[in-house]
Amino acid sequence: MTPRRHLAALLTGFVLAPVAGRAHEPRRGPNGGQKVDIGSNHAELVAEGNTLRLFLFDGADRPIPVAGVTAQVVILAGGRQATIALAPTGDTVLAGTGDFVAARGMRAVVTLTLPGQRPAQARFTPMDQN
Amino acid sequence: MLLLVTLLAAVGFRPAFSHEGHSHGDEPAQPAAAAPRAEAYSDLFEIVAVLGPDRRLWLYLDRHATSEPIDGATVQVTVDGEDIGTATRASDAVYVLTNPILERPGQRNMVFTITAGEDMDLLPATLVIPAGVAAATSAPGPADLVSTALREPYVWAAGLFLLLVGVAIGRAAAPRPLPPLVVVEPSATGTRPHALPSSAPMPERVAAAPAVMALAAILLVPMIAWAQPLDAPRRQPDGSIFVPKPSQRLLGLRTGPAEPGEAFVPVHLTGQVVADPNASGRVQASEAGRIEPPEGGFPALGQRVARGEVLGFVVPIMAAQDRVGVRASIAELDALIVIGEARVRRLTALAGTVAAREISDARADLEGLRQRRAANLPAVTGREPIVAPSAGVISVVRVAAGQVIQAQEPLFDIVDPARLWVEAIAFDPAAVAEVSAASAMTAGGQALRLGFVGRGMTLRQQGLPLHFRIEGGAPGLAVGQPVTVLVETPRRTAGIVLPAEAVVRNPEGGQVVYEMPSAERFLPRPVRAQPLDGQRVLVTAGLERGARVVTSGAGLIAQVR
Repeated sequence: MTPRRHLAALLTGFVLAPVAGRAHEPRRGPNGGQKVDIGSNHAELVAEGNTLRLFLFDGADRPIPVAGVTAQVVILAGGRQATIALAPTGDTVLAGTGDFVAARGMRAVVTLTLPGQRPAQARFTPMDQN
Repeated sequence: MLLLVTLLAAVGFRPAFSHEGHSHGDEPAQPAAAAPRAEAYSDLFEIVAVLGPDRRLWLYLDRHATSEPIDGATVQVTVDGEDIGTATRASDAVYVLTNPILERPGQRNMVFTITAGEDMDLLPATLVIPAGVAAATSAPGPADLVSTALREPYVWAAGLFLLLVGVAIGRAAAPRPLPPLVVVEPSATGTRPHALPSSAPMPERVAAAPAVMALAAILLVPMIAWAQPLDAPRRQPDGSIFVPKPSQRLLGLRTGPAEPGEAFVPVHLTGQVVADPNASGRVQASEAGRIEPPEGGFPALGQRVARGEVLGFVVPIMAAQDRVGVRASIAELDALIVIGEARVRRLTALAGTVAAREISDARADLEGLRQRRAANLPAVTGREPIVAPSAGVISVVRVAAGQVIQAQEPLFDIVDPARLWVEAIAFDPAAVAEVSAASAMTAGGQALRLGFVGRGMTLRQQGLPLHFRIEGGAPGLAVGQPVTVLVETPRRTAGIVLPAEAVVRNPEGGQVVYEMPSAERFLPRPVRAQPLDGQRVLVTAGLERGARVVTSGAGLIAQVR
């Protein structure tokens, strides 16, 4: 390693440190949705048409099984409010449909209840991310 | 080197890797003594929900970026998935809601649906309702007193017993009216014994006073309980400052985002007001003499004069020898003129026999003599008028009638108040090599717009003089008045432009900007700031981009103890 490479590594470390510190910010998830913190876990919400899918991850972004998990979503889209219950449809995904059309400016508040835990809430803007 | 890199990287990443990724729930807790509260924000709104001692939910709605209260909004509240209705407007941008679900202790998940004009948003928040809401706050209700009494009967019984003992001792020790030494005949009208002073309260009133106070207390307690929850602003042990929303509203607090930008950093120079050389004048005598006023007297201070107006006369004074010389030459010329006149007369009478050339020569000689006399005469009898060299206002008068002055002595200064300049001294000529704009500030805070006129090429007392024209007029300025000149140069500096009000001094004397990381919490951020003009400052260090900082009311937050 040349001294220049040392310097580059040093600078990269400094530049990355503040970026990594902002892990609480909403970010893009692996399924194309928006991923935010919910309780001590992470959740990714994907909205398409009138369908919502919610993927669950633990604090280290490993998918967690959703058996026994219930979720309720309050959606504000197009000036109207709708409440949708999500049910497990796969190993790590909950899904549900409702009377809404996913569009830009849509906001959703997910209330997630893991078995034996308190309900946790998170706010999503799944259609507003770049 | 590699070790160093690894160490630094580890230090940098440590907050990110705690709890396998990042830490959750590291938000600082609210003050222990404050009422239960929850807050939530989006890019549009910020809402703070406070559970009052009366178990009503008080909602404070603001714009998130500016902390501007939003009045007339509709806030619909859902608690644990159950819609508990829309909050009613209690006062300006304060909404209140009552529901039995708010009396059940425990953690409550709330969703606020906010509609303010065109903007709609959903905001989730979690409110933890303690077991005894009222007990957690300042005013305990009667029900809590009874429940406490039931829980600890012995303590309360002991307290009551002691109270009764105290009352009994007080009764026994109370001063009684002594029997009168002299029995006085009771008066016909009054039945009251005279031994009691007339000013002493009547026994009935003494007995009534505690009852009245108790009644007042009973009436006041609900009034206190039905008001908004009052939490005092206070400084937290971690250095942050807790300012509840009602206090923020009182302080008129506003915030703004810290947007990085660039600004022209001005150079500060000291200067003074000078007169425009093309619109001012100095009146000086050209020779020594005695001053005489014109008709109407000398012009007074502040008098407006026109160009060419006569301001006074100078009567030349001469030494005795000079005067004698001039008088002698005048006398000699007078004699020559008499001779010349006689000669012209004689020759004119002989016209025809004498050559015409001789007659014209004699006439020319006589005319020359008369002109010489006229030229000599003012030296002993004449006076020189002093005229105003420019139009303006008399700014200095240094004359008195009869005063003898030397040549070149300044008599009057004339200044046009509409055309003043500012002369600034730059001790670093390189800093003002290029001047793009300039402004000035008087000691009294009056701002002046300046236009650059030019700079000198010669140092004067180690400084380079620069001249600026005052544009737009500035009443009340005086020549010689010191001003601070802010010269903008094309040099730009990156930083965060904030209103000057946002930067306050902390008790140690440093410059501090208050950041608002959450709805009711403020963090002092030491910054390096330099003034741009009277209204704005440029923060070059100490603030991160995107931080929400207090732009109005920062000085009041700094006073919270």
